[in-house]
Amino acid sequence: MNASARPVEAPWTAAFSLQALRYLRSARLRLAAILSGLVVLGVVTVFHLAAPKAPAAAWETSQDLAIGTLVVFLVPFMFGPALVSEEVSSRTLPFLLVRSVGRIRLGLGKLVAASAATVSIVFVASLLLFVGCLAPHGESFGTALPAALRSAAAMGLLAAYYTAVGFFWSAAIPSSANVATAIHFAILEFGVSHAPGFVRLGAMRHMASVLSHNGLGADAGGSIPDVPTWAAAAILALALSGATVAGLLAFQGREYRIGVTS
Amino acid sequence: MYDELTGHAFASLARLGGSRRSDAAARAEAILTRLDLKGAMHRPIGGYSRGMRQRAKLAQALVHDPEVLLLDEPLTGTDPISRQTILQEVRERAQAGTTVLFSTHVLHEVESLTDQVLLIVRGQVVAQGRTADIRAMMAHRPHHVRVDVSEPRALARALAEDPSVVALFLAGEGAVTVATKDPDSTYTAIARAIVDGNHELRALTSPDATLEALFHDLVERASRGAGTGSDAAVGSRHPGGTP
Repeated sequence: MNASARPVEAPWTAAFSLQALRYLRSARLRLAAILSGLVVLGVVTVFHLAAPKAPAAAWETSQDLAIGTLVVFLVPFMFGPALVSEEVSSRTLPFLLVRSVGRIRLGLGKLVAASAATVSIVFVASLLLFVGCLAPHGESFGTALPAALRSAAAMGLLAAYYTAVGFFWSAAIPSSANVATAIHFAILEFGVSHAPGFVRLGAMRHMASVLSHNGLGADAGGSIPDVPTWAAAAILALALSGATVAGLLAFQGREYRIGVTS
Repeated sequence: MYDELTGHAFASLARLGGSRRSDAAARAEAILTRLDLKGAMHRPIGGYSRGMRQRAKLAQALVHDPEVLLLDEPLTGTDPISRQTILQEVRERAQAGTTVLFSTHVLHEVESLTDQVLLIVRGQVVAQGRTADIRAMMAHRPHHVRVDVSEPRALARALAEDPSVVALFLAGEGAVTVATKDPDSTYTAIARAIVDGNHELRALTSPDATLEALFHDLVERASRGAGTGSDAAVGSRHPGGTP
């Protein structure tokens, strides 16, 4: 064997490049972008048809509906749960696992590529929504721009967390990753984020709401616990790290039964 | 396979084996060219034929010059040209020192690669070693020799007296099949009978010598329960050399 070709453990960036290349060439990325664009277009259309008297406040409501309720769940759901499970079902996981790249690096590379895709789409969709809603309202547009960037960043962080959650379920139970992720999103995130009192603190969607100051799920009246912005950011970052580590450990420790039917 | 990737991108996954990006790309192009995929290497794999996909997979397996090559049914669904290309590449790798483990149900194609085989029936190893050695160790099973001659009946009469011959079968108008448990003696007897009878010899073949026939014999033996487990296994315990 040629000495220069002797296998050494590949860096996680090699797995990232593979996954990113697959996304760029696949229909999944285009579909996610198109669906997000349609959601934004629909909400922007309704926004202008309604002709709100307080555009900035109405934009926050639109943000809650379009991004905080639809896009931030939809896009990570398209990427996260498939990260491991699609490799198991298509029997390409053995191909990946026999490479001289460890599972942690492999999982990290795939997760980072998926997160980059979801965060980019959610971030861009948030900004497009803002521009679409408030660009015709020059004064509100300028005033609300910092809040829009902050909100887009918060939604991006939330999307990264949701992608990591999907990755965890994909690695832990690949055969039911979609169902597990959907239940997680519906109950532990969307449901809990509307719960009264301190229960709400269990939902990272609520933390993203605090971080963006856009009052996502504020329909529980005045029962929202007062969480400092820095604390919300720290908790959300901690949750993202926790979900990532949990997913990587699940991927590292699980024995996948490829092609075995029971 | 990743249908959305091009053949070149797929083979360039040597990066997952630790190769540098530029090195992986150059190696990918070289091996794809060797496997006659140069013209299609920038097209998505999703549009490849079955044979092209098999060659792309082989390219991906060979791109980092492995010391050991595990090939599971690499000829499945391939056309004759793809099959020849794959076999030629595998043969050259084996001759260059690569250890090749080649799993297949198409036994006659394995014969063109190697005489070192390991036969598995229902999950049990039933034979291991050189084809000829395995055949020779199956003393319970008569060896068959087909002789195509001008006068098969006369030849059969001459051979009937030979003690090494177990049975004789007339195979059509121009051939006789001889069953024997002592092939060396029988071959000598056949040669003597042909010379003495002044027969015109057209062909001398042994249908049992093929791997396919050997496999069927072993399957039949295993089915009869002539030996199960370790008792069913024949051949050398230590395969010699590489395929």
